[in-house]
Formats: sequence, structure tokens, C-alpha cells
Amino acid sequence: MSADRHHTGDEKDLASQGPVDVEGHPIRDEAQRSPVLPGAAEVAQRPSRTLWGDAFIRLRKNKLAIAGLVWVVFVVVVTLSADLWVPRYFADPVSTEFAGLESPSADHPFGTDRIGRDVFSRVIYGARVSLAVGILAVSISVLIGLIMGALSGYYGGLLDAFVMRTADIFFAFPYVLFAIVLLAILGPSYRNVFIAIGILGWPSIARVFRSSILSVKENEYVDAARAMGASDLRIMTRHILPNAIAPIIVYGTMSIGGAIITEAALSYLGMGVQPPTPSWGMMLSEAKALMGPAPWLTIYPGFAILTTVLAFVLMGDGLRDALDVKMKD
Amino acid sequence: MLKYVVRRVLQMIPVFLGVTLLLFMLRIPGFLPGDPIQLIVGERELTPALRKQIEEKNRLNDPLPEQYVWYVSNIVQGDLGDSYQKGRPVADILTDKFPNSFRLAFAAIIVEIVIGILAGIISAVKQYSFWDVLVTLSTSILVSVPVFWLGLLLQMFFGIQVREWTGGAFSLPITGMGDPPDLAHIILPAITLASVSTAYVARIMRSQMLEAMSQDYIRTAKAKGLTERVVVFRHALKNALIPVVTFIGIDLGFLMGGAILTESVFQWPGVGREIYLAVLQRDWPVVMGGVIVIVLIVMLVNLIVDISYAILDPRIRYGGAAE
Repeated sequence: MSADRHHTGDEKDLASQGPVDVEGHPIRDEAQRSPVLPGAAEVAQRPSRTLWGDAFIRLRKNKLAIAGLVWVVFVVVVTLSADLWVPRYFADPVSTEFAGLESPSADHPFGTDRIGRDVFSRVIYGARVSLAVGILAVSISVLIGLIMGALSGYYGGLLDAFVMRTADIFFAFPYVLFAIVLLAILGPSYRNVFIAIGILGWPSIARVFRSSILSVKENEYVDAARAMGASDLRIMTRHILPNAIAPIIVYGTMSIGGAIITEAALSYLGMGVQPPTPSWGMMLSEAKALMGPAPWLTIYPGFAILTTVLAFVLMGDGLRDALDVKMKD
Repeated sequence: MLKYVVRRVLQMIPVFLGVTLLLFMLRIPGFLPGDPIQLIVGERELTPALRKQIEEKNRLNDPLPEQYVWYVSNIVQGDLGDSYQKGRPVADILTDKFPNSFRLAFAAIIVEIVIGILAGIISAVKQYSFWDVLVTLSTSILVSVPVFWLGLLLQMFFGIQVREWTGGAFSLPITGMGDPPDLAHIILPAITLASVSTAYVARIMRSQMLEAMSQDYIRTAKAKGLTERVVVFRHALKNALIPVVTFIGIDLGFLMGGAILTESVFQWPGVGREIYLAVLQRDWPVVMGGVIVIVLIVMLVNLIVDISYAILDPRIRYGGAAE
């Protein structure tokens, strides 16, 4: 990934990143640049496009990524508007007013569960938990990861060694096991699930951001900014972050899918969201004993997890290609 | 080479101490739900004398740094404490369960190697063909499938549906290991456990293979008049395999540490399920002892992978490994 493709297009940044004369003023006159590329004048007249503009154009061409985006938007709209139409035309997700274990029909598109709740309505409301946990958990990971990655990548030295060894400790733990132990300490609840998943996710983000910083911070425009007396914080937020953020966006998008799967797994094991809040993972654990007589209880919630996670993975793949980020496997 | 091995082993020490420190903090009363002494006593009546005896045995009244040294030296000597629930040494319980997890891990690794590598090679050699699209699509889907749901679907299909269709003549067992353990019981759990990693193996294999096939030495080999088969298997595959083998090695470490989800779905009596049950029963010594051993296994397997990597690729030995 070449760093100079990651300009923000911000005038101020360009000033500090472009060539400067002896007094530090940016050289704007084309004639002063050497060597002058043939046709440079025509190129300069093309409306400027930022990295993000380029990326968006590339992303639009990627059908799978757009399909993922459409599905995510669809799920968000359906689940956020659920109060308006689901209880009225289908059923309340926690009411137990129906006959138990009815197979799917027009009244109950996904059937009913053991104690007579409507599975369709529970799947739709379950999306709230999954999306909220996915987004909140990844936000926590990204926040911690950015700070830790910045500290270790920018300052290096002992701090770097300390942060990276701490990350190693996290990587040595099997993920689900670590999450379960954490939840045993914090106590299983909706809030603690995203806190636990968030805490577990930072080392990967920190590593990605650290290596991204390492490749960016050697650029001349960073030296130039420093020479002009910019503070560390300003250099980091104005010059390094915009040029090092692309891999984080890609990684974060994919991580939302991972966080949704983890939430489902924890709830399946009874360590996550507690009843009666509908969650896809918990629905699957309730379905297990009824696999024979009521397969719909297993099929629909699982399918909801699969499609939603897949949508985030496809979006992440698309962003990776559009932003031209190289990921290590 | 020796220098590299020594440096790599020394790197493990802070990680090990960090992990034990993290787990040690859980021993401090008040950190975990439930009074540890009450949990040890269980149904028995807790007299002051009994409380004192337990506190002394577990050094609960010593200063914390001394407790930590005592705790780590016990671990190093293989003493992981006694289970609250069963009263047995944790080390004995784990010794019973680990072989079962190893069986499952090795079965899963075989699935990964055979299916993952084959799919990756076919996908790369016949790029953009029907098979390539199929492999790319199914790996994307496979990494998005929750493992436990895949397990449930397999149970539903091979355990219940197939039995109905064949009138009870054929079905695969869906719980336990069998008594005595047999092949039929391990098929579904192994596929479930291997699923996500197989998809990753296929993906890495494909991209590595495509990269290898675009190298100059491949063009030279083709120009020399070697057949496609020889070029693919002798020249490209050898170089493309290194990252794949690394991935499989690291994965083996994690698989051997037990698989909580797969073992729970299939009621496989492995160490992952044992730890999960211990969490539910607040049997903390089993949880912490299990975690320590698993982390050690993961670190040890990673060490072996890194060393064999350094043997295969000399560049690693000279500084490259630091990053």
C-alpha cells in the first residue's frame, strides 16, 4: 500500500506534505517542480478525487460487496422499524399466546417455539442484539486498538515491547474460552457480552494499526510537520491517522461479523444475553432438544446469523479491494 | 540457529508470566463470584476451624507476592490444585480429558489438510473455472457459518433426516465418542471443528499458489518443457505450502486445546467441554488449570512451528522474526 495514495485531499495537509521551499512555504508554482511531467497541466485540470472518492467508485463496481451492504441496510431497517409492524401483523416476540411447536404457516412464517412464541418475530427482534453487540464490541476494540497501536507504533521502544507482549498474551488464549472466563467474572448479561468481545478484539486492531503506522511515519510529510513544530498529537491525528486508517476500516468491518458470531456462540452456551430478550444464539440453544420434531427452530435463527455475518464479510472484502489494503492472513 | 531457538524460548517467558498473573488475579477473593472457601466446602458445614484449615492450605492469608510465587511454582511442578466439585486433583481430571480432545483435533486436522489443500490447489490451477468459483463462494460462506449451528445442522441431517429416509437403516451417531470409541462417532464433530479452518486453508492455499505460479522460476520450468503436472506439484506447490503449513500448525495448537463449542454440541468428553461445565459450576481451579495447560500447549506448538519455519526459510533466523 503506498502511503501517498492516502491523502485526505485536505488543503492544509497538502501544504505540509507537498514540496516546500527553504522557508517552509509550499511550492505551488508548477514551474518550480522538477522534473515537470509532460502533460502535467492537463492532469492537474481534472477534478481532484480523494482516496475515498476513488474507493467508492471501485466499491460500486463490486456486486458482492453491494449485495452485502444492501442486506445490512435491509436488516437494520427491518429490525429498527419492527415495533411499528411486527407486533401488529405477526406477534410480540415474548408473548406466549400461541400453540407450541406449530410448523411454519401464513400466520407464523417461521413457526412457533416450545412455549408458543412466534419465531419470525423473535428472529427479527434478535437482529437488534446481534447488530448492537457487533457494532458496540468492535467500537470498543477499535478504540483500545487505535490507542495501543498508536502508542506502540509511534513511540516504539519499551512501550512497543510492552504493548506487543500484552497482545501476545491475548493471542495465546483460545478466543471463545477467554470470552467465557471473562463473562464468568463479569457475569453474563447483554452489556457484558459486548464489553468482553470488545476487550478481546483490541490486539488484532492494535497490530494492524501499528504496522500501518510504521509504514506511514517514515514519510517526508511527517518529518516536515515535525519540523514545523506540530505536536505529537497533531501529527498522529492529522497526518498519520488519515493515511493509516484504511486497514482499520477493512478489519473493523470484517470484525463486526466475527463479533456477531461470538455473541451467538456465547448466548448459545448460556453465557451471553439472558432470556427473555430474543437472541439468535439463545434461540438455537433452545432449539437443540427439538431438532427432530421442530427443525424450523434451528434453521431460521441460524440462517439469520449466516446471512448477516456473510454480508459484513462481503462488505469487508469489497472495502479491502476498493481501498487496496493488503491483509496478512 | 541455536541462538534463534534460545531467543524464541526466552520470548515465551514473559507471556507465560503474564498469563499466570492474569489467572492469579482471579484467585484473589472477591474477584470471582462466590466465596471460594464456601465453594470448596460445598455441602459440609463451614466451621471456623475448617475455614482456617482451607485458608492455610491455599495460602490465602499470605501477602499477595508470596502467594503468586507459590502459585507459579506449583504450576511449574504440575500441581494445579484440587477441583471444588470433585475433590480430585485438577491435573488428573485434565489428563483424563485431553486425549479425547487430541483425537478430535487430529481428525479435524486431517479434514483441513486433505480438503483444504486440495480445494485450494484446484481453485488456483483452474482459476476462474466453475470449480474456482465454487471454492471461493463456499469458503466465503463457510467462514460466516457459526460452528455450533453447522454442528446442529449436521446432527439434524445425518442423525435424524437420513435415518427417516432410510427407514432407520442408516444414520450417524450425534453424541459422545462411542463405547468403545469408533470412527462413526468422530465424523460429524471432526467436520464441524474443521469447517472454518478448512475454508481458511483453501483460501491461503489458493492465493499462495496463484502467487507462486506467477513467479519467474515457474515460467522457466514451463519453458524448459516440463509438464503442467510437474510444474504444479514439484515447483509451485513446494513454495506455496510453507504459509499453509504454518497456519495448520498454529491451528493444531488451538484445536488440541479443546473446542468448547463443538464439544458442547456433540457432548464430546473433551477438555473444552470440561472447562465449560466447570465455569457453570464455578469450579474455578478446573477452569484456571485448564486454561493454563491450553495456553502452554498453544505456545509450545507455536514454538515448534516457528522453529521448523526457521529451518525451512533461513531468512527468518536473521532478525526477520522479531517483527
